[in-house]
Order: sequence, then C-alpha cells, then structure tokens
Amino acid sequence: MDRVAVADETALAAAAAQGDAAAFGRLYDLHVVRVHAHCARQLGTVQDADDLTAVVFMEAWRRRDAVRVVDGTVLPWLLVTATNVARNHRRGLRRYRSALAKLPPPDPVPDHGGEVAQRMRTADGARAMAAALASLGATDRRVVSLCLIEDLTYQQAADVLGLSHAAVRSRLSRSRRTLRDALLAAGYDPDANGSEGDGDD
Amino acid sequence: MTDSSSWPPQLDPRRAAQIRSVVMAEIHDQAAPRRRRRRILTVVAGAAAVLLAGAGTATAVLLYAQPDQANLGYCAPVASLDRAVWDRYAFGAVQAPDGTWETLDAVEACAAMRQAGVLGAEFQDGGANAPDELTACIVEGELVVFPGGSGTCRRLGVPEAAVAP
Repeated sequence: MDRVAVADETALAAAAAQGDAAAFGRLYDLHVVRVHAHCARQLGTVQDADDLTAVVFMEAWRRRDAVRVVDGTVLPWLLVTATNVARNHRRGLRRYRSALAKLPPPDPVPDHGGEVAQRMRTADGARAMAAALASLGATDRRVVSLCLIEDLTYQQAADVLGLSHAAVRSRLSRSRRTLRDALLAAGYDPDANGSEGDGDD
Repeated sequence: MTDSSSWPPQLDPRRAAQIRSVVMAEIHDQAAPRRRRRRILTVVAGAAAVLLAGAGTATAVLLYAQPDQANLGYCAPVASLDRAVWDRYAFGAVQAPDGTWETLDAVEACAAMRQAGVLGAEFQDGGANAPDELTACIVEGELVVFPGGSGTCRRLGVPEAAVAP
C-alpha cells in the first residue's frame, strides 16, 4: 500500500466517523471485494456472503466511532468485524432483515461441467475450513482469520485485536493444531490441499 | 461471480454495486428515523380509527401501529411503485400482553382491510370484484401488499417480502 492510499484511508475513516456517508462509501469501494471473500471463507459458502457483506458494512457504519486504522488502513478492522458478524450471522441477518430485503437475488451461475466440478472441490474444502474455524474460540478465530487466511502480519493482527505480538504467535501455534485436527476429522487433509499458509511474520 | 477456478469466486462489480446501494440506503435511512416514525404513526392511526369505527372483521391486526419495519405494512390499491399511491393505508401487528409482537401476516391484513370496505375510493375492486391474489413486496424497505399474483414483485422490479408475508 502506498503513502497516498494510507493518507487517504485515514482521512476517510475520520470523515466517516463524523457521519460523512460519501467517505464511508469510498471505504466500501476500497475493501468490499476482500470483505466479501472473507465472509465467504468464514461461512464456507458464497450463498450468504452477499448478505453478510452488507451486514458487515452496516455494522461498520453503526460502530464507526470505534473504527481502528492499522498501518493506515481500516481493512483489518473490517475483517475482524466480518469475523465477529460471521460467528453470529443469523442474528446479524435478522437485525438488518428489512434492509437486506432490498438486495435482489444474485444472477444464476452458468453450469460449465469441469468448472463446476472444480468449484465443488474447492467449495468442499472451504466448508471443511469454515467448520474447523467454528471449532475455535472467538479470539483464536479472529487471529487465525487475520494471519492464516488474510495474510496479515502478526503485528497488524496484534494491533487491531489489542493483543501482544507474543499472544498472537502463541494463539496461532495452538490454533494450527486445533484446525489441523478438525480438518483431518472431517476427512480433509490440509497438507494435501494447501489450505493453510505458514503465516510467517 | 466471475472466476470459477478459485474459491471463493471474486465479487463482481455489478453485485458489489447492488450491495453498496443497500448499505448506503440503510445509512441514509438511519439519518432521519424520527421523521419517518411520525409520518407512519399518523397514517396507521388514521387507518385504525376508521376500522375501529366501522368494521369489526379486521381489527385484530389493526389495533396498534408499530414503527418497526417488520411489524408494519401498507395496502396498495394498484401495483405501482409511486409512494404517493401505496403509502396511504398502513397496518400494524398486535402486541401481546407479554410485550412480544405477533407475526404480521401482511397479505391477510390487507385482504381484511379490502373486504371490510374501509379503504378509499381508489380501491374500487372490493367486494365481488376483489382481486384473486395479493402479494407482499418490499418497496423502499417497506412491506407493501399489491393486488396480483406471485409475479407482481418481479414485474415491478422489486423483491418479494422475505419477512412473514
């Protein structure tokens, strides 16, 4: 991320905190793709990811006074918000049910044999990962989501979660074992499919 | 969705724009909730007063106004997205003694209002000429019941009601 982007995002977050909807819309534009992918990974499906993405940003607006800028970007904070919302996503969907009703259904995905088969294989792994994530405690899930899935550094995760660098490292070490056991129990070999990164700092 | 070889597929710009419009509409709605509440309460009170005075059949679902969207609906005379057409007759759910709100059956409530004959002259299709079907749609975030079948919402370009219609 370059210096211009860093400066812009900090200013946008400050303006949004003051109620500037246009500034908030710009933050949406910057990060919606990453947030949407994160929501899909948290749920293990894309079916609810659209709705959950909307909920994340509506929650972000509702809690805009609490937005935390880390290394000049609000993305880590949005990802944490997405992780939190995903844990209680049914409740979040209910809270914003009226607003979400305005969202038209997604376009149907064309069926192209081999592509669908590939999608099924990757989606199957995603579901296994989502189930494994659900087996973690709240804080461990946030740490894993930021460091192993979104490739944030340990320090960035520590800053946005209010943890020490050592605590992030320790939680990751423990969570890796938990995730691995959960994936293996689900019949999914994480080593064979490369679903985890090293997460090195 | 675009890329089918990786998971999850990347959000396409058109879909991102649709989600954006929902988020921004919600943000703008939060800016003026008090003004909306007053207007809705006025409309509901007017409709409920008429019903209480002249019709007994529909009062079960028309006693109280509730400004929460899930407990409020509108009965429209024709399938039109013009707010001036559909927001004249509102109805609300009943609050139980324990404080909870009964599930609002919007189509049933609107049908009762039509059958009771308490709506305005624009509802000329009442009685024997009542529409065979009513459908609950979401317009500008509000629950609106239009005359017509299941394709009504689609023809208007709005979603069907996801909340207990």
